Amino acid sequence: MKTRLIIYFLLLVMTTPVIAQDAPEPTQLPVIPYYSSSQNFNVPIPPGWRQISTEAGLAEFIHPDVDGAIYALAVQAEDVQSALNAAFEQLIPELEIEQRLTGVITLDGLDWYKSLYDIVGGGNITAFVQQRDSTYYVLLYLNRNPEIDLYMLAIEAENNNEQVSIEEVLSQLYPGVDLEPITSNEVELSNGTWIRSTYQLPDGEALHTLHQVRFDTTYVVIERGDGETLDTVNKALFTALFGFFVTPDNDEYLLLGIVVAAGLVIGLILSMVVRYRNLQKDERLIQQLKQDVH
Amino acid sequence: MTKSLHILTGITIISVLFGLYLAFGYARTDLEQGDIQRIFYIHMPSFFGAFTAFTGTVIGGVMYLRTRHVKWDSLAVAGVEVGLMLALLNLATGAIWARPIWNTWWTWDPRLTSAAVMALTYLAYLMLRNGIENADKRRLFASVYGIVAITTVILTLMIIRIVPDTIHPAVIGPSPQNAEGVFEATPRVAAALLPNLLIWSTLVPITLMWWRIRLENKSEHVQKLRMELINS
Repeated sequence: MKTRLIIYFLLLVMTTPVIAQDAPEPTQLPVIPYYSSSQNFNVPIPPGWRQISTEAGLAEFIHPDVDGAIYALAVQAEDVQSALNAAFEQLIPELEIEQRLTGVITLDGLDWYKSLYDIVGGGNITAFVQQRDSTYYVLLYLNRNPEIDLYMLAIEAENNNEQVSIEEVLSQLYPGVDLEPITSNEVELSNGTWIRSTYQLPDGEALHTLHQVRFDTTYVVIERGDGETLDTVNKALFTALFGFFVTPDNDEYLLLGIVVAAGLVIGLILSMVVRYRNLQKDERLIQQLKQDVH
Repeated sequence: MTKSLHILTGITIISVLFGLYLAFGYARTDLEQGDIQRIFYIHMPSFFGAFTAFTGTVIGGVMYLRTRHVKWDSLAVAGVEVGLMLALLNLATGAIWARPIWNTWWTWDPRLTSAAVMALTYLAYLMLRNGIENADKRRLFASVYGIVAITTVILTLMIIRIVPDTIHPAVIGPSPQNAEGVFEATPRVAAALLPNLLIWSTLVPITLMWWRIRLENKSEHVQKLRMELINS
């Protein structure tokens, strides 16, 4: 009876850690990103886009209304340019490209190298590259539609004046563009409030921009054309860029943890074994002495 | 009795190996934290193992004060020794996890501080116990100390709710607002965690405590022989 009571008491006491905590609250289901187990990177699949790559370590997202694709991959290289070249070699070996703009932007404390390319014959590439040791993670948007240009940029706002930064970029990409926007208005998109502007190119064609300032960075998507692809690509690219992360490689800490944990358990067991053997020796010695005394 | 202990030891070893398989083979890599998150499958259960062992100390202490039977004191000291080892294991694995996740081995966070105080309290138990020559006084002191010391364990459990300004994540229930290193308790995580929790909070401390009681019994026996020899 007494033993049973002790068992009940023990069980009751063991439940206190659970009682001590609040009841779990239902949480929202997490957005499951594309995860490359071979290359350890994660990139969210933008809503409405589909992952079609079957190649390990390569993500390829496509959208039914967009003539282009978002790619994410990891390459071993010595510098950013050779990483980009390796990525292009893997993705579009048949295409000839020309670099338009390049620079570095810091997002969440991590440096991203940004590059814009034009494909000879039509189309463009927006590429972001992040370095971790000797691995370069490349996130790029490939616009295959020769009818339009589509670029995305993240730029440090000059003296907190994003308009000046945008105008500088537009001047570099489209020399002679009229920097006075024809229209400019705020638009509410699912990823926040953006400013949509329309400029006129010297040949009369329209140039559309969507931009948003977050902290000190201006995010801008530029489309030369009818402006119909802008919203879709903007949302997708920012989802992929902001959601991109590399699973940290910290195996050595795990190994250290296992060694320390095993060391503590084995240490206690060995200590008990040694103490028990010493007691056995003492016991034999005492019995020997007892016999000698008698 | 020894046969039962050997059977229990066998079951515990197999269970621990199974638990390790769940932690390092079955559970998936946490995408945000990487493989270091797997240490959690030992870190948290080891705390509950310490809790079980220290509860044994309370039971031993209460029963010794009531009956003055030495076997209860053996349970109490076994609980402290095993519990302290598991508490140190909990602290060490926590520090190793914190290095890549919090970018520091240690921080004077309320949960970490209370866990350290808890371990030091039980370390002091062993040191003070060994410093008392008179066996009856030693057992009496140890019983009272062991009962009072459980407050440090309860405080460590509750601190996260009492002092919400902590970066230590909670596993059961919502984490504090400032918690860093929180991860999703997916069904796969739960499937790997629950068996480990059961193994480390019951089988491991009970088996080790049983062996430690056996050692204490041997020690008492040898002490008795020694006294007989001196008196003869």
